[in-house]
Amino acid sequence: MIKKFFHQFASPKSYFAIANKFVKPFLAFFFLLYIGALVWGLFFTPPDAVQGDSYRIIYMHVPASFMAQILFVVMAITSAVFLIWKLKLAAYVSKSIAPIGAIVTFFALFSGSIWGIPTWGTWWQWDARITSTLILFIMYLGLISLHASFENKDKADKFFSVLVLIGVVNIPIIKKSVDWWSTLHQSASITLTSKPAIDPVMLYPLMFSIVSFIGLIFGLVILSSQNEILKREKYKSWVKNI
Amino acid sequence: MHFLEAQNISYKINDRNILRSITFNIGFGELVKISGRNGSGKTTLLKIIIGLTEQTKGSLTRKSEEKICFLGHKSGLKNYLTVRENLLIHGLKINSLNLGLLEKLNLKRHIDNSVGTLSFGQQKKLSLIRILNAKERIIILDEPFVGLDEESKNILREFMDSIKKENRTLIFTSHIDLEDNYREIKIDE
Amino acid sequence: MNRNLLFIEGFKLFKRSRAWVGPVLVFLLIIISFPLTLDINSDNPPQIYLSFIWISTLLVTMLGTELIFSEDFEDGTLEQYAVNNKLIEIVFYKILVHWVLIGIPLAFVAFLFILSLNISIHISSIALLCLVISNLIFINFFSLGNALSLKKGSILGLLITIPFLIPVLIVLGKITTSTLLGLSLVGHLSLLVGVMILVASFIPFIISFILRTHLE
Repeated sequence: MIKKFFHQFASPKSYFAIANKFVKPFLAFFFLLYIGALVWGLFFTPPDAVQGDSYRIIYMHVPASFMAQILFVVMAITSAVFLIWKLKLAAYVSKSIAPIGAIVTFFALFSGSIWGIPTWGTWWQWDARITSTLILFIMYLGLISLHASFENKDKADKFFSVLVLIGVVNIPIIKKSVDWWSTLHQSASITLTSKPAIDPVMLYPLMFSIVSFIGLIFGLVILSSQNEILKREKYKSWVKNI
Repeated sequence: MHFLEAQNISYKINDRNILRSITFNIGFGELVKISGRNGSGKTTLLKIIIGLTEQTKGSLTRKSEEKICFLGHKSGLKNYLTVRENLLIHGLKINSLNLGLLEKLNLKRHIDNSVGTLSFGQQKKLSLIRILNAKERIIILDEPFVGLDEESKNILREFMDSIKKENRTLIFTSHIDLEDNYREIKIDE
Repeated sequence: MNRNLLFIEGFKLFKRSRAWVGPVLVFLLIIISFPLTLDINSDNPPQIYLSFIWISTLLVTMLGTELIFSEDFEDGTLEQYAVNNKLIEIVFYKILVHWVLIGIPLAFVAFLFILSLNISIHISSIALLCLVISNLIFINFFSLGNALSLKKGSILGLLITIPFLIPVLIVLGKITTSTLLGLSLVGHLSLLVGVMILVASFIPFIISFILRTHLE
């Protein structure tokens, strides 16, 4: 019973219909919110005591670095759902996350690089966090090219999901080992457990930018998964009627 | 007694129908030919029968735990090994029976040549020797007649008759009309 | 354990001599060209050579496992194994055979190279031990890459597997440093062995799942 209900609810068709209703206002809302957070951060916060104005890129860099990892975890969850319950919708979502994850990760690297020039005096440092982010970026690219290399997309979904799961098990290991290898980077500015080391004047817009960026990216994931559904289920009658 | 019962089997790739609602039963002592034109899903149906592929819809019940001898259209022969070595890695002994078969199929003089130097037809004959050695009760072959000359086809037909007599089963695909009377499962719509 | 199948896998690889002599020769060529691009003198820190050895064996084991499954997939052999539920067994045997015929010889060639640079026998033997272990890990992961990217070429396989091998490279790097500083290696080596055991016992199951999906 439950399984049947689940399958009906999570069918690409009903998902598409529901998503279609709210995805555009949802995206617009978070987009404006993100712009608002950036304006707040860039123009209405005081400069940093040490880094001056250059620190302001934090409002772009931190949300992107955060999402780069979160997206992989989300992708692992949807992949596991696909492999265990054979829900095609989950595979479509997984597949749509990969390119977005790659772009976000690239953006994190790029913004970090720009930030590095005034702060460290170099655009690249072989330190732990940058290196693991670069590895993450390569993993996203590997997943994308793996999926693209199969004509039989049903099989591609399975291989993709297996690789995502192997990847998600390995990411903490890679991170730990890279940390062990070397670390220069300042440790994370915000943690859930301890008192934040950053001034509230800067913290609030930062939180704001993170939350709105999460919303924005999830909106994009939904939009692109809708696209994927249209592409993959083009033989179904309900798609032909759209 | 049926050892295989298939009910309304369908199969899709990329949401495109390959097989549409096929129903059949197979029992021991039968020679079953699965026929259909190229691309109609014969190989897919074989793969569903042996359990490599799972049907998208419908049910398939296997009531037998018997081992299956399966030979796909890809032969499993190694080009870089000689005929003798190829027989050995597939668990066949070079005994008088197989030497006799090699002789009969005109392959004996090639026994120490590598399979890569043989023609397509000769390679098919070599695969035929593997089929003739099958001890399993259920034998499944993909396009066994393709590439064989008349003489080898006759050897294969004789083998099929003996299968039937021994109450074993042989399931095979073919896209050409064979004059013989096999039980036929047609999968063209 | 099915000795017969193991023997057949070994025989198949042995007969395809290009597949195992080739990588060793390539490795030898890389090794010969390395000193030519570098002024060999005793001032060079041994790290340079060891790091070069780790990376080049990594790439050469990749070359050596390029056909580990794709050949049997192409000619239908895997299909026949799968029908008789022998896939998982075959995966183990293939990896084992590749380790014995490619992984271990590479380690010995590297050992001779390191010795030839007047690096102490102590350091060279540690490197040999590490290579024997790490090559099995590399082969497992590259086999996984080969299984995923069957007949799609090795670049894709490399792209998806190298990230997973980075921790192993880091451990090898740590071992290098500790050896040269004369620190205890017990911790690092047992870590490496632990990784090897984990990898060698789990990856084959994933591979056999992947191969089954290919055969659908």
